[in-house]
Amino acid sequence: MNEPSQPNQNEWLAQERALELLRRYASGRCALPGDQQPDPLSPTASSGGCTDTNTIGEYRLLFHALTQMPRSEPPDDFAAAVARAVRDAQVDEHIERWVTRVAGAVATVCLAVFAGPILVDSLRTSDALTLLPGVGLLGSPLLWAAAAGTACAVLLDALHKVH
Amino acid sequence: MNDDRTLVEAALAYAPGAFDRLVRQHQRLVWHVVERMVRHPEDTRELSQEVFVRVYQKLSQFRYDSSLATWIGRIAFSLATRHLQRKQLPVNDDHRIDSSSEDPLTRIADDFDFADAYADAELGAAVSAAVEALPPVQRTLISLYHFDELGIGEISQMTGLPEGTVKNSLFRARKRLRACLEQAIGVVA
Repeated sequence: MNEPSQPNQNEWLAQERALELLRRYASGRCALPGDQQPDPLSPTASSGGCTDTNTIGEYRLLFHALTQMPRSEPPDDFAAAVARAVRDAQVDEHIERWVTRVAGAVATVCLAVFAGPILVDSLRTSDALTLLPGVGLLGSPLLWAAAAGTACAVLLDALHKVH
Repeated sequence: MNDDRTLVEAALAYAPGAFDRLVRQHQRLVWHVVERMVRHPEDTRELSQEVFVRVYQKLSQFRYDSSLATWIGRIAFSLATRHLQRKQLPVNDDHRIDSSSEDPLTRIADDFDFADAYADAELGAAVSAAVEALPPVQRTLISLYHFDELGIGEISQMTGLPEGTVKNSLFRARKRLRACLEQAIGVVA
């Protein structure tokens, strides 16, 4: 959609002219007592030569009616309610962050406990690996759980800092 | 814009009362945008609060490429639009606009006293009812342009609609309101 096209252009100009006259009137720049300016709510007031005076007068009346319409305003305690909502959101966000961390850590630890020993068992078939000192410890689920938990915590913390 | 920067930096630094000041400065605009879109008191209250929660969460992403009011207004408009879409309510329902070329107001006599006619409270009520009957986006545009006295450019930035679309929607809404006004005047007269 673009600007109103002909033949609507004249009516658009009438609307804008009516608004301009009404604003000038509101700011006291026209139709002051003793002025020769007509009442801007009158349909026969000056049109500025852009279109017919009747249309402008009608729009002036409409815009005047619009500005007089009762308006809904925020309640007095709105700012306080927003402050409460923001605090609640902060708490929710904090809880959500920790739940994500814990859930992530538990999932990683579980995976490591189940998959770690299986991985070590498969590597034991290699002669070179069985000759290494302390390689038996790698089969311990506790070791895998501790390693995975630490790695997970470090990773989640780093991700949080980046975010 | 400098005032915006001072206020935003203070809020981001958690200065006491800074965010509260930001809320008080922009609460009327947010309320008007949301209220005009959703027309439901409880939803208006909840959504307006949600707007400021979003503002709080996203304030560090504000880049000063528009005024803070425009940025906050954009969040309000976007949340209200999503709310209507979620409820499957029409957002920009233009089909009710009377596009007939007939201009009923031209039938009114030249010497009709509009100011006196408007003095009748029924006429004011008729205009209010006509505004309420506008589609949400047109109602909001009318509100931003005529009540909050924002420019076309600002409204365009706030709503994400091209300036031509804003002008056209305003034009159609006013034309429709004018037709409703004519009907009311006809009843009064």
